[in-house]
Amino acid sequence: MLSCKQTTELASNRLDAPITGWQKLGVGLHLALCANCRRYAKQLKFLQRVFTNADNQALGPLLSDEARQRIRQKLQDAGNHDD
Amino acid sequence: MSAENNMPEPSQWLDLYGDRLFRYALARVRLDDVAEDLLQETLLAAIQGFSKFNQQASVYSWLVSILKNKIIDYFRKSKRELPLLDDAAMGEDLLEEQFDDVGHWQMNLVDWGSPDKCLQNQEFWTVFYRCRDRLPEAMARLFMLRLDGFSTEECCQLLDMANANQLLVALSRARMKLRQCLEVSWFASGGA
Repeated sequence: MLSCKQTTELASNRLDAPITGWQKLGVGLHLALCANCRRYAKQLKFLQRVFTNADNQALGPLLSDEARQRIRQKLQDAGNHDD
Repeated sequence: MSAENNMPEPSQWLDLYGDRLFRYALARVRLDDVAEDLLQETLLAAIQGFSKFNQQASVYSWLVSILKNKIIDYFRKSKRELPLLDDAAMGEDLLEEQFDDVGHWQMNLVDWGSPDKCLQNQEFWTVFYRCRDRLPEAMARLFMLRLDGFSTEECCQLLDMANANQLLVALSRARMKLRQCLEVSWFASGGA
């Protein structure tokens, strides 16, 4: 029987690489019996969704006005050189 | 953002896509000034290479593909400066706090309910980025590289890691730390 520590590690590993059949079986068995590890595994999947959502969020950090102004100036300068 | 269909002019790119590209870069490099520089380099390169733009793709995804390359270049150049993942960085203390000697939970995890509604909450994102910023730099990079589809071999190279096993352990510790931080700072403190 896998420990909770081992199960949580495998719950992470399986998001990155295939795990063996025995490991899958062990994780499945452990999760069926352990509410904490079930939560943990579910929360890791949510973390993945948070990261994938971060790129397309309308929410989150914005480019500062100062930086925007600076970049605009640079782009204009570069454009003028090309002409 | 409906301008994508009728081909915005290069002069409009900064206003149309600046925030999204900045956010994309910041999610990966974490430092505001680095993200700003990468955005600027991306737009400059895009304006210079505009003739090569394949009109089948959207301007935004083309800009992202340029930005991605800039980010990887930055990772390559700065990988020697990454702080080592020592025991503290790997969260050995948190591991000991969470599990007893035989590897069983010493605490009960908080039920996060249906957490996806948090994705619409600006405060959640603030907390999330704060937690993410507490991760060791190598772990944060690793997360993003994996999500961007880099293979474990490529990640090992970009982060100077010995092998895939070390990488999997680092990822599992990174998730453990991030999960713990979100639980403490959001889900257990009434955020949900």
